[in-house]
Amino acid sequence: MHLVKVEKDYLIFVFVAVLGLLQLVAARQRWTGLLFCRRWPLLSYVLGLAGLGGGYAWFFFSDDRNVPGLEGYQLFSRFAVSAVAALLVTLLVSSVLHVHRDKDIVEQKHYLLPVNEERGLEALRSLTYGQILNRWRRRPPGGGERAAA
Amino acid sequence: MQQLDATLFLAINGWVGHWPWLDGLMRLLVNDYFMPVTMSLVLVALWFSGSTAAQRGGNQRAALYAILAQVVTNAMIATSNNLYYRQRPFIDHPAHLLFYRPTDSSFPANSVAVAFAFATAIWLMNRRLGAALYAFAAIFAFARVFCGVHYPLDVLGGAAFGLVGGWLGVRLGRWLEPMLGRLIGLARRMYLA
Repeated sequence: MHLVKVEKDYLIFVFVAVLGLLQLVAARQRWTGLLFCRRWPLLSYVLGLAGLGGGYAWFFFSDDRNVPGLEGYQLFSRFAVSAVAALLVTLLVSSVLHVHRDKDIVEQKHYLLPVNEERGLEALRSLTYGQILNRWRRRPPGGGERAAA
Repeated sequence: MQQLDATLFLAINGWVGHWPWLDGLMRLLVNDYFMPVTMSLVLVALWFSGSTAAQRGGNQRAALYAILAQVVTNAMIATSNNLYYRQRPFIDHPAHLLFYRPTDSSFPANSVAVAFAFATAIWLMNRRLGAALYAFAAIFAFARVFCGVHYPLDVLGGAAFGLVGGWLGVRLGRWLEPMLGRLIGLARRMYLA
C-alpha cells in the first residue's frame, strides 16, 4: 500500500517537474512552439520555476521520503514514463493554446513544411507541434517540402 | 584501514544533531529520490539544449552516454555485490541514523556510483556541467556518510565504480555510435531532437 502511494507521488512529481523544466528550457532556447505563454516569455520562466520548484517542494516536504520505496531500476523506468507523458502534454497543450494561429495560416493555404535542415527542434522556434503535424497532413500530393501554395 | 574507516565514519556521523539545518539538508539529499531525479532532469534539459543542431547533437549524445553509463555501472555493482558483502556501519557502531536501514552490502555505495557515473559521462562531453555534477555527487556521497548509511571507504569505492562505469559507458556509446546516431536522427525527423 505504501509502495503504491510512493509510486503515485513519484510519478506526479516527475511529471510536474519535467513539465516545468520543459517550459524553462523552451523559454531559454526560444522553442516558442513549446511555450504555453508565447506572448509573455517571462511568464514561461515563472511557470517553469513553479513546476520545477513546486514539484520538488511538494514531493519532499509532503511526506517522509527516507523510508524504503522504489528500487533503482523502478526509479528510472517510472521517470521515463512520466517524462514522456509530460513531453506529450507539453506538445498537446502548446498546440491547442495556439490553434487559432494555425487556422489563419492554413486558410491562407501556406502549406509550408520545414526543409530538411530545419527539421528537428528548429522547427519549433516558429511552429507548434500541432502546426507541424497539420502541415504534414495537408502537404500537397507528391511531397511538399517547403512547397508554398 | 578498516579501523581508520570506522574512526572517520564516527567523526563525520558524530556531527548529527549539532546543527538542525544541516541534518535537514542531509536528510533531503540522502534519500533515494533526490539525486536520481535531479540527475535525470539534467539529462532532459541537456537533450533540449543547444542553439545549433551540432551543439545539441553533442548534448544528446552526452545524455545517451550517461544512460549507458548507468547500465554498465549497475552491472559492475551487481557483480561486486555477488562477490563481496560488507556490513552497514549502523550494525557495528553506535551511529546516528537519519535514514532507513538498508540490508544490502555497504560496499560499494550504489547510489554514489550512480551519481559519479552520471557526472563522468557528462564531464567527458561537457566539462562545465560535468564539474557541477561532480560537486553534486561529492556532496551526496558526504551525505550518505553523514546520515550513517555508509563508511567513507564505501563511498570512495562507489565513486571509483562510477568513474570507471562512466568512462566505460562513454566508450560503449562511441562503439554504438551508428545506432545512437540513427536514434537521434529519428528523433530529429520527429522534430524532437
